[in-house]
Amino acid sequence: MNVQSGLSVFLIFLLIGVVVNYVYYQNETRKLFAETQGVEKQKLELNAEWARLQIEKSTLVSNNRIEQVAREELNMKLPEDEQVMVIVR
Amino acid sequence: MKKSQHKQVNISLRIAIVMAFLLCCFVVVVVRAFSIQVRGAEFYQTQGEKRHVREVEIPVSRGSIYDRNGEPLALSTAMVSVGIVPGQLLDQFSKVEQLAEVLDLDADELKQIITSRKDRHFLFIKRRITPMLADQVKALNMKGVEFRTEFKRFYPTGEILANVVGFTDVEDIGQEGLERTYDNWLTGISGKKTVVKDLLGQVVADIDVDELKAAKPGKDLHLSLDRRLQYAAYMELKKAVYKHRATSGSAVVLDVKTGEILAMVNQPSFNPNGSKDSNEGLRNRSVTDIYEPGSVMKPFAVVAALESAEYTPQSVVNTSPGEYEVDGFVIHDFRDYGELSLVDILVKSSNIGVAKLVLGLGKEHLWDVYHRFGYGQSSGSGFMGESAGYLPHHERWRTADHAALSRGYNLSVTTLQLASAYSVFANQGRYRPPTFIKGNINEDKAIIDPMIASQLTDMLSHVVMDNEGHKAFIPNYSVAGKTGTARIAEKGGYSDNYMSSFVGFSPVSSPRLVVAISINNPQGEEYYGGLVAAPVFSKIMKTGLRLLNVPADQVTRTLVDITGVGVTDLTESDDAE
Repeated sequence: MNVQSGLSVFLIFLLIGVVVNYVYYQNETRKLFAETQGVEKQKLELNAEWARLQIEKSTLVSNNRIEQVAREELNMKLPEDEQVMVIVR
Repeated sequence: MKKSQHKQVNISLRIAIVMAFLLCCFVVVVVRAFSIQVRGAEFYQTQGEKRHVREVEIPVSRGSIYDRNGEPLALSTAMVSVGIVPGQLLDQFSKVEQLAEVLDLDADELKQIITSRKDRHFLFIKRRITPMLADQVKALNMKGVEFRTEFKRFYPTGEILANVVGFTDVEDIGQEGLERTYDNWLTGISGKKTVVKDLLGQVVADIDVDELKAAKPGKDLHLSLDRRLQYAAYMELKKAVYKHRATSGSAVVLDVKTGEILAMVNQPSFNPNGSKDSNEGLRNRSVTDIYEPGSVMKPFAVVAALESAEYTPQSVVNTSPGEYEVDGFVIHDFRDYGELSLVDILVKSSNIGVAKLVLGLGKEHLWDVYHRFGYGQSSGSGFMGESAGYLPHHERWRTADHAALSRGYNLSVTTLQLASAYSVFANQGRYRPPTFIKGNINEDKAIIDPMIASQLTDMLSHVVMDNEGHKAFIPNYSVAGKTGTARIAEKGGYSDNYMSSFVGFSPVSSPRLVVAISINNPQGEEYYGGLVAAPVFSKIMKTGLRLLNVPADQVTRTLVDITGVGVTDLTESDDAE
């Protein structure tokens, strides 16, 4: 076996190796890409959910509602001017 | 022998047959290739791309608007808009009926739209429905029905901030208020990207992510407004406008140190989440509506007098007999006040007093003072639609105009301008343009001598403190301010309608807040600024000082000794400053 044919065999195996590797990583890329797509979709959904919850929260803590709950359910009121005392150290 | 016979069989004929066969095959291939590559190229190319390479839009949301504490004032939520490709629906009218039912549309009308616009590629039939409803539509599984993500604007604070924040139209473009003013900042640019899809329609790879087409979400806006104070101010103003059956009203709260607008409320208002068919409430009256302010301008006339160095706060002006003729016009006081010091001119709000003060000075000087305080110019807040007010040039003043200007007539101002001008007294003579944006503090500049500013502060505190039971009074805090009651001009003269106002600041020792109130056309028995506007001032200022934890500077009721050894109640110790 001369040097030339030895080199050829080596190159053929190298080529096969590279090609198999390429296919493998192409597949990996696709899988990872599909995953990013999924995660990105999830992100959009979570964002939408977050916005919805934020609106819900701002409705729950609206000054109107707080005042109503404080006055009617908890029987709270602002102190009258005569009831306010300032503490001096 | 056989072998040789075989060899003799016409070998060249065989070769020719094989060659002819191969040639035929080759011709078939070439012809087919030609028909695909050349004749049908366009068709196959588009068909192929349709199945695999797609440019998809990346929807972006408009930036949110928050108050100074991060509470949301305007939010965008993702909604689904339903559109149709009319051409694809022509043969499935039974499903169209179901679609109409789910979307609460008129089925006949929808069918008519489909037939009459069958050449359109796409049209919306219902915009911004909830994702839940969209799922019901998707369940119908109809060809020719498409979904797009769009955003709906929601305003959690409703009418309280409606005419300041404004609103957007169906295309998400700011139409009024800060939504319009900062539209470019808030608007996002929806991006596009080219992707490869497999036969199931799933994206398998991004290609060509062009920087120019990248999505740029809208930026958030953090306002200087404080939602709690805004709410309190709105409720107080609303109550007062209702109680006095007034046409409209405005209130502005400014932070003296930074020029930040902490609250800005107007009546009437509207619900920004509903339909905007009434025009009355849409205007942010605090900055768009101008009026003749009346007596709240008198302190500026006094500034002119003090700057002339001919007067000190203790100088005396004779206002007897309560009537004073200038250029054929007679100026009246409430009654004959006799001899008044400059302080008392403001305390009694003497029309004759200020007229006599300014008539002795040049017209140009009074104009210059007003001009320096920002009257007749836009305040610099940047609010879209802001009015500059009106200050006529001194060369056009007659003597009667000169006197009228000293008591706040013949010029027009906005409520925001009044608040900004008064903050000069509270800010050692420096004018700082107001701002709606948190932390975006404008440069201030000295416009009057700090000495005169502190003299005016002292004089204005006498206005509130010397008048027994003044409605602007706030327990435990010192207050400086001035009332105004101006007749509203109408065609050919002045009507019997009034503009009641109060502008002031507190605490006097180290001013923190400026509050300006104006109530237009109170219909009740009371119309004086001191009775209509001052109580609103007092309530809003009290809430503001409490929310900002401003220490009291004029304590009338104290508890000393908090060590627990024994608490002494020093009730009514008036001078415990």
